[in-house]
Amino acid sequence: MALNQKIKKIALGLGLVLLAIVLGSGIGIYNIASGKSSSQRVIGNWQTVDKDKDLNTADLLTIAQISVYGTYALTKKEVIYLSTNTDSEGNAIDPKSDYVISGKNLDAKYWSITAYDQDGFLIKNPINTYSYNLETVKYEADSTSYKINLAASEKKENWLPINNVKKATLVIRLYLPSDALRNNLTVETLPTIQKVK
Amino acid sequence: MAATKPLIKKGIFALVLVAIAVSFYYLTIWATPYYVQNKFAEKSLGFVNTPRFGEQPNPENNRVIPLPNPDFLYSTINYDLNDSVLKISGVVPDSTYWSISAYQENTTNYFVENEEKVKAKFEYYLAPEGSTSDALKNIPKEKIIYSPTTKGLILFRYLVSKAYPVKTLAELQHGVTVEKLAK
Repeated sequence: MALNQKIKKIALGLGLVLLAIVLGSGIGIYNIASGKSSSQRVIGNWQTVDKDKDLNTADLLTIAQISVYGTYALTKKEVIYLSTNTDSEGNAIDPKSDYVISGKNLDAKYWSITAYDQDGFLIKNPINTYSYNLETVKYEADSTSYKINLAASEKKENWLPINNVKKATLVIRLYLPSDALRNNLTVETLPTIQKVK
Repeated sequence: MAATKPLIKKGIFALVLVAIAVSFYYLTIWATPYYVQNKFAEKSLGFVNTPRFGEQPNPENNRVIPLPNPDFLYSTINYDLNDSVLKISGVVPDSTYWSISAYQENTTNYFVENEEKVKAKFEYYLAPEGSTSDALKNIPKEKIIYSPTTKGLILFRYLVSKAYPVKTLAELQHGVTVEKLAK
């Protein structure tokens, strides 16, 4: 009887240790998948790395998140990445709706806006267009403003297709941004995303 | 006194459980980047210390590394510096974005240079941190990349632009060479 109880105690103890391992690892995986970390900075609906932090000096959680969802990213010295999966109202981008991304030419050596699917990969589409950049976007009459049509249905100009996806994410890349832009990344300088249909 | 002893035992055991849970939390987030790099290295099996030249990413050819930039041509060198120092050289485009960047084994970027600083041709020597290899003697400091880990990845980015269409860039891309020098 006493031996039986001892075995039960040991089994319970081992079970609790196993539970602690699963719980610890599970929370780790959940936090990586959540995409939230203390190194994040939010500018309107865009997310980027905090002003005082960088990808190579960030906390362990941020490094893990970047390794999974933005593998081999560069540090802020070279590129500033901004991402969103919501419109400017804060609502999730609905791939069945139409949106207009409005912005102005950004003061960087090279900038682009790219659309990705729910897994972070490029979206197959009939015009083989996955992004617009400072050279490929068609500007308005003032030669500095642009409107990109983010939609599943065909558009005449600046169409960035998001067809046949469950979820869409947009990423802005600012390669070698000017100091002025680097120090003035605000809702006003970044493109807006408005739902039109 | 006899009644409190089992309580103390249970309390210590509870603390041990919390310590195990916290340790495995940090172990998971610490190990994840190494797992990602190993996964990529597995896909490059047989191509260690050898350049691999990627095509312009599209939905069909790029389903491994998330968030590829469709405006770039990428080249990679999955490196292992256990046996050698690597000499990496090639040509830099003059009027489109180009960069060489290095990532340690946990995928963290520790080195990057672009075409604004490196003109016409590049020549870098990749060695493990603290290396006293003879191969590095008489090599200017700015040409040596010291890797914090013996394994890692070199990544080249070439921006497809009006000045440099895919075909022109691909020629430059394929001109990159890697030479293994004695450690």
